[in-house]
Formats: sequence, C-alpha cells, structure tokens
Amino acid sequence: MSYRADKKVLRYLNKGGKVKTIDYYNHESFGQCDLAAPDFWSVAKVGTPAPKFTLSSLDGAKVSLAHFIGKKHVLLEFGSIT
Amino acid sequence: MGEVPPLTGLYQKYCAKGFEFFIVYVREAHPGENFPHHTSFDQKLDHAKKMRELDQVRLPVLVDDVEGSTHKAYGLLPNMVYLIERKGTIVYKSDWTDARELEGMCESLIRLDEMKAREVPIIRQGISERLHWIPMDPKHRERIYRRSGEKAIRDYLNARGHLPYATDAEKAKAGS
Repeated sequence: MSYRADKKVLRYLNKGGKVKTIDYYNHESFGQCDLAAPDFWSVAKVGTPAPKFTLSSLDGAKVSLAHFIGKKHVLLEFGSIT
Repeated sequence: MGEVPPLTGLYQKYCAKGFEFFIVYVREAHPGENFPHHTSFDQKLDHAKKMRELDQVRLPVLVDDVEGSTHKAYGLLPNMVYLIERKGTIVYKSDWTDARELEGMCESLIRLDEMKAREVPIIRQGISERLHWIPMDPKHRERIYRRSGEKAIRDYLNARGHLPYATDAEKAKAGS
C-alpha cells in the first residue's frame, strides 16, 4: 500500500490499485488510525503552555481552559467508550 | 477509558483542593457495530453520554469537536492524561492513567501552592522522566471490545495479528 497524507483525509491505494479516501481521524476501523499518528511526545510538552481549548459539556455549556487559568489546576483524561 | 474508578477517587479527594478534573471524550479508538466512528457532533455527544453511563463516570465530561481539534493538539493517543498547573503550564503528561503516579503529581502541586503561600524561594523548575507499566486484565479488555462489537475484535486481529485480550503467551503463540 502507498499513502499520501493531507490535513483532513488520507488516501491510499489498495491492492487492486483503487484509490480509497478515508477520514483518518474518525477512522472506521482500528488500524487506519496508525496511518497518520502524531508523535505524542513532540506536542504539548511538559513545561510549555497547555494548548487552549473550548469544549462542550454534556449539557451543552462551553468550557474553556482560559476560564481556569490563574484559578485552578486542571487535570484532563482523554477517553472513549471503546 | 484508562482507569475510571481510581480517577474518581482522586477527583473526590482533590476537587476541594484547588483542582478541576475533566474527561475529554474523543474519537472511538476501536469502532464496532455498537459504537461506530463519528460522523456528526450530535452522534459524538450521544456517545459521550453513553460513556458516562457505561463507565459510571462521576467526573465532568467534555466533548471534543468532530474533527478532534483538542485531541490532535494534545497528541492523539486514546488514554492520555495531562495535569496543567494553575498558570497554564503542563506539569505532567502520560500515555495512560497511572492513578498512583497522578496522586503524587497532585500532591506536588499542593506543595507548590504551599511554597508560594509561605513565599519559599524556588531555585528552578526540575524535570523528571520515568517509565511505568500498565497491567493487562484480559477479562476487562474482552468486555470493552465486545461492547463495541465483533468488528472491533476483527479489526484489532487484522492490525496486530493477535486478539486484543490475548495474554503474552497467547501473543507469542500467534506470532510463532
């Protein structure tokens, strides 16, 4: 297989030579996510400012990291069901 | 999810001591028949609510956008943990939840708060690196994959050459 990555999608040639486009972020199958995995240790390093975010809570409220700066220590655990 | 029950314990212990804990719901690592990959934010929000029920999550849950902007900014691994000091600096990151190590880090920040309150001079910031070992419980792993569906198990087998809940002996056998 050969791969060509761009910002949103990843195209690959399958064995039959057909071009297939997949969303590498929301991959349909485990294994596809390996195609464009960033280096965890090269981003958001210890000692640097935490990347800013504004996310939705389950009741629809917006929660920003900026809101807690100067007030609270913040712990984030990333997760999914599967 | 990394380790929900120990994290719940830490949350209860530290939320009154100047900490905010959040679970950031991101893409499904092992999409299957029951929990397919996300195609819209509403579906992702719905999955996040199901995660809260299934894993009995007590911590506040935040939902990343469907493109995974925050997940990408923090490194894209499925079970990362970050601790961000009050001023916004990352003081700890890990590729898995090790609750004991995390508790040590929370205590470290409490000591920092105390040093600041007592105006203890700080020479400089020190930095540590370490390895840690993640125990594997085949029964727990099998339960997680089965709740996603047979597809998730098949995909893992295709990608890795052994079942996701294989023991080391079973993996060696599959590889031989």
